Amino acid sequence: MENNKGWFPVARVEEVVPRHVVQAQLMGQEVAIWRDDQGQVNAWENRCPHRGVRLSIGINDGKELRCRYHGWHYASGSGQCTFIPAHPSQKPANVIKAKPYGVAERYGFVWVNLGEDADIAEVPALGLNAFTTLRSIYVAAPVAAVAGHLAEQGFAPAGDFILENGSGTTLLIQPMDSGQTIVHGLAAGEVDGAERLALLRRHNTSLTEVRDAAERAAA
Amino acid sequence: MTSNVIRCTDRVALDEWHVLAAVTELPVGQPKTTRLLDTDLTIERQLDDTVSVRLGATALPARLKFGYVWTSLGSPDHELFDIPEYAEADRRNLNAASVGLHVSAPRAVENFLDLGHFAFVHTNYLGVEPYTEIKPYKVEITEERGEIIATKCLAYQPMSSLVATEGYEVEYLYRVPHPYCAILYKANAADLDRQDVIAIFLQPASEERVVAHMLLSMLDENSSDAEMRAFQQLIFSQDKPILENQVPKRLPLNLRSELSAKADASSSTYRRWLADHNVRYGTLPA
Repeated sequence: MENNKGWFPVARVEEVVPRHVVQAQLMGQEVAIWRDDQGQVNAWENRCPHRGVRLSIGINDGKELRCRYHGWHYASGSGQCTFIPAHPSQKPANVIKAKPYGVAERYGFVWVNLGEDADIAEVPALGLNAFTTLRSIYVAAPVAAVAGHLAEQGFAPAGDFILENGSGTTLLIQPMDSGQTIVHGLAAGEVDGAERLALLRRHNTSLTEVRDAAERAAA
Repeated sequence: MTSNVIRCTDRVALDEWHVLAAVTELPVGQPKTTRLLDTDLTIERQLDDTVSVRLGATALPARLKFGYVWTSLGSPDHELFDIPEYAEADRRNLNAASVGLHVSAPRAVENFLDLGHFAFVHTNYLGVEPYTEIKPYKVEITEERGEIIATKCLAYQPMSSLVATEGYEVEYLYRVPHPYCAILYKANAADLDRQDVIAIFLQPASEERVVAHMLLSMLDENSSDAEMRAFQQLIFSQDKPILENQVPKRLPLNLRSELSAKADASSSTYRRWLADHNVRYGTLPA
């Protein structure tokens, strides 16, 4: 679990709604996530290159993200600054751009890669054609501690930051920073009704135990 | 971290005068604790309106100026800067607010000097789209005191103060006489030949935590103190969430760390000036 240039889920796809900006954190880096009106998702370093204001408090106009402080516009996709209101008749220099990270949507999650030249082909293949999304659980403890307690619940590593329990549940680990972890979960197959409710409850009970134990140990 | 020993090692910050409180807001005879440069101090106002400042049992130098208590943890080789207008007989002088902010003092000063945010942060008061263009203005450092002065700063303002009855283009002058203090002069809406004066004095509790004390020295015969305070507090409440969402909280003095436009001339000069004066407390090195 050392590769910090890998792909990680940082948000649920349905959280990243139009005309909104979501804040996430990965490996100590804050990320601003927003979807343009064409449906394209952007994941950018969460600070305006001008005066460092978080872009997650900015305005998603459907095409560009506008910084809340001075109204600078940044284009979906490239992050290029397209307009500086203080100098409306001048074209902003090419070097003025928000910093885009690698971003992909798979298995119901928005995945981010903080590395340079992130390759979408390297988003992990989970071999799931149909799945049920489980509750994502935040734990105020480091990844290694969380993984230890997940092992007690029958989860074993199945890849970098991926664990499985042998009965169809896959966990995806989002390391927020050295002391905070989010555990996302997927169950194989689509289930409905009472069966789905039972699955969600089972998962919630099991992960709540993991969270409580890991947080007690970290405190 | 709470401490009554001096942990700050920035000689420039230690040997400077720093604001602690508005005198009239201190209770008489009841010691109050406040923090400066990571050190806890005790302030006490006496019946005769003198004020003492102590670090543990040690008395620190104290000054009363502009209605505020100032002290130093070191040995200043200069007195505090002046604001001559403060002494004019027809001015209303008052503390508009003392507000805690989770940001460094230099980030707060820079926000105070900034013209480009008016239309976006103070919408319908100090600015409004499409009047967003910032015309060239002049920034210089005075020979006499080495202060930063920005002049001919123009901004179209829908409601520049309580006295304004319509939108108009306001001319500002800014002074930075101290690493953590700035003063603005803006044309009075009723008497265009004279200027209202607003100053911000930052008390650096820590490198990333300040109390902003705001002095109003206004030419306004009609508004009540409460009305003048409320207007300034409304404006400042719009800046607070912006300031607290700046990353990093300390001001980067390397001019390549954050990209600037021509409208940021004041900010760029201020960053160079802090670097030239070797101000390390609340900044990231150039």
